[in-house]
Amino acid sequence: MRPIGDAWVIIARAMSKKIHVDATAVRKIANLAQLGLSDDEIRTLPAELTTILEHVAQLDALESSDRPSGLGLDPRSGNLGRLREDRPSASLSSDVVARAAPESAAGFFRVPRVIRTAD
Amino acid sequence: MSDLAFATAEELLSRLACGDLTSVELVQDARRRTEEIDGSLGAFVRLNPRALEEAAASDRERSAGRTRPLEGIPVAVKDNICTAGLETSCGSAILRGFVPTRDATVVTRLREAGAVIFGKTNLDEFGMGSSTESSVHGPTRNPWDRERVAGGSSGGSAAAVAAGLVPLALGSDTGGSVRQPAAFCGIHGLKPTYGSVSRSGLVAYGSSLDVVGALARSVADIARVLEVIGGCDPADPTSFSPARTEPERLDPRRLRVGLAADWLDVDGIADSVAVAVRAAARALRDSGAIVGDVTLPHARWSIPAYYILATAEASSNLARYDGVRFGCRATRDDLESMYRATRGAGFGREVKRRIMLGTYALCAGYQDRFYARAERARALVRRDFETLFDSGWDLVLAPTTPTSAFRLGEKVGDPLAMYLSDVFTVTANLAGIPAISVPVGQDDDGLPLAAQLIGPSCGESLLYVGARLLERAFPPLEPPMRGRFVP
Repeated sequence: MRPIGDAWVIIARAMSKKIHVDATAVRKIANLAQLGLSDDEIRTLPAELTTILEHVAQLDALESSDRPSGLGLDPRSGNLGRLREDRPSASLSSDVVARAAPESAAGFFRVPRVIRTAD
Repeated sequence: MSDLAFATAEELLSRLACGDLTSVELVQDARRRTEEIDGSLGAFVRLNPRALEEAAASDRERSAGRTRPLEGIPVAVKDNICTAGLETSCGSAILRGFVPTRDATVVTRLREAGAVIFGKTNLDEFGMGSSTESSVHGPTRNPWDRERVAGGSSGGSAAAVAAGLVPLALGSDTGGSVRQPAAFCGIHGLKPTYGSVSRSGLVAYGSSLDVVGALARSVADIARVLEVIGGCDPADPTSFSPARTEPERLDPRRLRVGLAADWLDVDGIADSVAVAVRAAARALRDSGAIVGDVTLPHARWSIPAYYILATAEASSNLARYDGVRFGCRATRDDLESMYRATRGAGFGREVKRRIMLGTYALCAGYQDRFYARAERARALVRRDFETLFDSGWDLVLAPTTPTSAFRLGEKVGDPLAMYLSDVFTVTANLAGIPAISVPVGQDDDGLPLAAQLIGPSCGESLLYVGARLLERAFPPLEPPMRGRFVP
């Protein structure tokens, strides 16, 4: 006989299948991802994300994995967890790196103000 | 010269070897054809201005008696693979103007093998898409019907090979991005075993799934490219040099191929695709292979698992585009506003959608529900394949795509429908195993149809055995846009 605890898990999962992403959640996630969204995106993303996540919620039928499956590598290949030798080698000069940046000065990246002042 | 356009790399190498042709002539011919027809395709985003110099250098090498595996052959490279001194923008506004300081390992290996880097090909932004419609450079059109997509995300590479602009191209395959466009464009496309090709210099999308693959007009050409680009690279700790398959397993008459028969009945699969894959199964049987039905019971979890794992990894990988170190920046007074404005303006709609999905899936409280279960699904899909291959099957035969190439714009407004078009390809990425798409005829609209062979980890040689049988059984398609070129 299935223990009652498991039954609760099944009921809770069935109930939790309902996914609803609203504009508030979209703004919150965009904030976490440091992603500016247009008004149009804030209007359309809730329905799009809800549709996709409802499809993804099929996974609720599975038990979650207790350990990662180890990147895309075949776990039987013996290639997991191999580290590169720690050997010093030439790297790019700071001038070359800074040239690729949108703004730089004297070999450093230039960024806008980091510390906010209290208004 | 139009016979050059649709020759295989092997044929071109023979002509170069006997002095009938030079690499400079080959590159000039490819440039003329590209100038004439690529305006209506959009396969290339940038041609290598040094290609003729590189071809001349290759001709000198050949005159001096040096012959390398791709000596003098022009190769197209997907624009998410770094090329030193040649802009690499991943089809994104955020990387506009980014010029890498070094070549990706695969590009270095192509150059060392004598190849000429011909140009950079269009793609869905950062490889995120199945139609090459989400590129900042505009869509790539299918050479067989320019009102249809070339597939994606390596749509530019597939269209360039199919239209006879270059004999070979590199793509990248995270969920089917080499095989699906190869299928839509009527050419061969290989996704190698995860880790068997270095990812160093490939712009990361889903790092546990990404692999560089090859697109070509023949199985032999695909094998030749993999031989050049594959193998361990100290710059990629997940890379390795796979052991070779024992020669006795490579006898086509002993090949055991399992047909994923239940995949031919899934919702949304076109009759023409199911008929073509059954014809491929018959062709393999007629060639002496043993063919039987097999099932992959957990494959149905592949799409939901893929779209959690890939987007979770993407949300992390794409955090580096912050307007500080490379690419574009939106001007703002403080750092956080600058980050948001830069990313908001620099990323396109599909990339933002995937970053949002991945960030959501990794939020505290959802990690176990989504990410951990997706990992579980990945392990189950991998075990399905291991069980089949351990029980004596050499290959799995399946469709590459549910339909032939769809119309431009048909799925842009329905992201889930677009995601579901990857249903047959993502399984090999989740399992980390190799798979190849092979053309097997055309539908009533004249569009190419394809079959996919999936092999065990490091079983590329087995894939080639099966793919060669199909190549012999199905006559080559009459190339598209042949008549467009007047030399």
